[in-house]
This record gives sequence, structure tokens and C-alpha cells, in this order.
Amino acid sequence: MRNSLKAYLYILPALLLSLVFVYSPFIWSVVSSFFNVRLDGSFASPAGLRNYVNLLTDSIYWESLANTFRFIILFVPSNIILIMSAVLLTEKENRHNRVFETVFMLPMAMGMSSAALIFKYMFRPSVGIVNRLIGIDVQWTNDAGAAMLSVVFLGIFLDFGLDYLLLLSGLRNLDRSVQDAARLDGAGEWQVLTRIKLPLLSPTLFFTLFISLKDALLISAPVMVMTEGGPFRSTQTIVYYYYIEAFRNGNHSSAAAISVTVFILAALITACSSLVDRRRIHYEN
Amino acid sequence: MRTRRTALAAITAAMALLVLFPFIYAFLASFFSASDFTTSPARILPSSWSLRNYLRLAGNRHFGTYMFNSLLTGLLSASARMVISILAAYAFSHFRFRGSRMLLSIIILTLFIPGDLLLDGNYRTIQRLGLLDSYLGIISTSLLPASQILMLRQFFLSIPSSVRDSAMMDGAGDGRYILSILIPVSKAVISTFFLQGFVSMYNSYLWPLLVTNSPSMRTVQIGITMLGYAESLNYGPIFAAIIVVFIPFLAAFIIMHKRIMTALRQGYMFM
Repeated sequence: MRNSLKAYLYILPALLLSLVFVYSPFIWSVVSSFFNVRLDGSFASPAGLRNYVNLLTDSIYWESLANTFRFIILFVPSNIILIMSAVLLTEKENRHNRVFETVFMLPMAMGMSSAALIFKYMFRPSVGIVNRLIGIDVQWTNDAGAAMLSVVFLGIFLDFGLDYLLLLSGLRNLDRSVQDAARLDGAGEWQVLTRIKLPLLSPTLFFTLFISLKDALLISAPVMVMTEGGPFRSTQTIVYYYYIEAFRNGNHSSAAAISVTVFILAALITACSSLVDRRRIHYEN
Repeated sequence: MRTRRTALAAITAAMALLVLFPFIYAFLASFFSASDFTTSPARILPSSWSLRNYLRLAGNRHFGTYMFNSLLTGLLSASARMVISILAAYAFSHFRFRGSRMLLSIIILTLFIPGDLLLDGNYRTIQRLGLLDSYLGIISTSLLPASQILMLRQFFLSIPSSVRDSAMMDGAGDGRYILSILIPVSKAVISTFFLQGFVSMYNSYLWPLLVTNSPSMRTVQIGITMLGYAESLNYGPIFAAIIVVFIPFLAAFIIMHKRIMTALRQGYMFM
């Protein structure tokens, strides 16, 4: 009994923090999405579903949501392919690869706002370094498509280090004997990769995919620093819109309703990923 | 075979160069004069290697404060996180008590609620507690490392219970056991987590931006976007700041490289 009392005591800080900084603001968001909330955050009157109905007819909401999906579609596949190639290229542990490892995880050490500022200046039209190197004057800051692409590049850069490390450790921790046996039986490297490494790596791969999907759904701060959502709101993502409604427009009801819809999207992604996870476990058994 | 290997090495090097490019550009641009930024086509090398941008940065009256605030909040947050997660992981791995599964799931479930969407509610909490413009306010939302608790618990569970039993038999209390056995055996994991905690606080942007107002409380990641040179189209000092802010991390990552790889091999990694 005395022992369990101690255990509760040791858990208390973590528990309190999760209640104060996760569950209470979460519940507050859900509740305020059904109320008219004053500028100072107090409840004025019940709103029923009006906040949600307002969102349905809010073109900026849909635009921000569409931008987010556009970002996801561009970002998630290219991110995973690039990182996976880097991981496969540096799979072996040796002296050269130690240098490459450090290089590939370096983006993790750079702050988001530093990176976003660097990208902002690199991707300027006519005077930016990127356009000089590629030899074409792309209107990164004036063209909606190009602007979104530049944000995708930033997103890949920001996620690179962590995803690289996750997948590299996954690959290096795989059981070697199966691969060696296959090679002895005359399997080519491509076969070893597609028939053995990738299937064995699939749990880590799914996990990384899931993380980058969620990151992509929630991206906001890098956009804030690099493009401020422009040009013409073409890079304004849904969480950025939440932020604008909550902190610039003081529209807490609308912000709460937006956050609830994004909570649901995030939960859907999580649910899908755990479904895939369960299928995989069956497959292994 | 030979040519294939060379080709692969070339591709690896090209990718590395691509990843390094923003760092290289930031370094070169930190020596640019104001007009170097606006020449067309863009410059790659600065017109002269003068240290003027670094000197201007050194003369900025806020930059030192920004750096200090970032280092302090980074250390505070990482240390507090470490204590909180070691204690919780210790309880969840070494004690049997009623409701432990439920309490663990309460902590795990926080991982599924995106923090960026809680900003509005958390801001109100911090405001009510009177913690706006304070260090405690800045670190408050970073103190619950649910994934670290999970992974540390897993790690602690892998330590044979006989180790603890014999330590207790010799009269060691919980504190003694944690300090002289638990922490030393999990050094690689704990130092990786500490670095991760420091990096994530030091690099965080939105929350510190929201809860601070006065320049004396700003952290450096916010500070560099507000250095106030951009209006004059002189971005040089901003790039100098980016480099200065980055160098400690470059050092930390190179020093920590081995430990991070060890933690990785044991399967305990950043989430």
C-alpha cells in the first residue's frame, strides 16, 4: 500500500500536466465550438451547430482545407521516397557513411524558423539563388503553384533528419541472416530490396508515413514564417487558419469549430494507420 | 559492379549536397553586404568576406537576451522533462498499483491530440495563471514527453527485477536506486532524450511567440524573424544570427553522434 502511494506520487506530475495542458484545452475547444464565445474567451450563449454551419459556407475554410490536402499530396510521397533513397544509400555502417549520416540528420538541428527564413530568401524570384542555379526565373512568391512547391521543399527539409534516423535505425536493425541467405541463393540486390528489406521494414515505414501524414495535416508555423500564407492565401493551411481565427481575429468559436474538424481528420488518420498495423500483424502470424 | 558503386556514391553525394545547400547558402549569405542580396542574377559568393554582419549582430541590444532566454528555457525544459519522465517511467515499470493501466493510457492518449490545435485553450490557461511573459509560461506546454515516458518505461522493464531487489535489500531507497543504477545503465537513451528535449524547446516557435510580448522574454527562434533589418533590405545580420544560433547544435550533434546511434541501435528514438 505504501508502495503504491509512492507510485501515484511519481506519476502525479505527468498526470497533472496531461490534464492541464492537453485534456482541459481539448475539452474547452470541443465545448466552445457549440457556443458563442466572447473575445476574452468567456461563453456568451449556446450556438448549437451554428459555428459548424458557418464553416460550411466559409470559402476561406474550404480554401485552407484544399491547400492542406494539396500540400499533403505533394509532400508525403516525395518526402518518403527521398528519405528512403537516402537511407538505402547509406545503409552500410562505414567511415564514409558516418559523414553522410551526420549530414542527413543535420536538418534536425536547425530551428524551424531559421530554415524557413533561409528558404524564403533562397526562393525569391529574379534575385534568389535557386532560380540562378536552375536557370529559370520561377515566380515562387507570385505563383500559387510554385509557392506551394517551395513550401513542400521546406517541409521535406524540416522532416528529413528525424525520418532519416527512424528509417535508418529500422533498416540497420533488420535481421541480416535472411538477406544473406537470399544472396547466397543468387537473389539480386533489387530482389533483396523489394522482397526482403522493404517488407521487413514495413512497420517502420508505415510509422514514418503516418507521422509525416500527420505532420502534413498540421503544418502551420513554417508557412507562417516563409510565405505568410501567400500569395493570395494559396499556401494558407487549415491550422494556420485556426491560428488566424483564434489569435488575429479573436474569433474563438470559429477557431474551436475548425480545431474540432481537424481533430477528427487527425483521428481518422490514426485509425487508418492502426487498421493497417493490425493487418500487418496478422500477415506476420 | 564498379561503375554501379561509383554511380551510387555520386547520387549519395548529390543528395547530401542538396541537404547541405541551405546551410552553405546561409553561411555564405552571412557575409553578404546589403546590395549582395539584390543583385540579379543572384550571387553565390559574397563580394567581400567582411565580418560586418556578425559585428552588427553583436551590437544588437536584444540578440544576447534572445540567446540567453533560449538556452535557459531549453535547459529548464529538458531537465524538467527528464525528471518527470524518469519518475513516471520508474513508477510504471517497477510498481504494481491499482489503475496503472488506465493512468498509462491517459498519458499515452495525449500523443493523439495535436498540440497545435490546443494553442487557444492553453493560452487562456497561461493567461489565467498569470504566466504570460515568463519562463515558466514558455516551457509549460513542453513538459509532458509522453513518448519518452513510454520508451523509458520499456527500457526500464528490460532491466531484470533482481537488480532492483538486491539494491533494495542493501538498503537503497528509490532515489538512490534511480540515481546510481537506473540512470547509469540508460545513459545513451537518457542523453538522447535530453538532447531531443533541449532541441525541441530551443527550436519551438509558435508557443513562445504567443506567450511572450516583451523583447526581454523572446527566444531566439522568434527573435531572428524580428531582428528588424529586413525593412532596410539588409538581410545579412539575420543570416549571421542563423549561423550563430546553429553552431552550438552542429557541435552537439557531432559530439552526440555516437550516442544517438547507440540509442538507435537499442531501438529508442525520437518521436
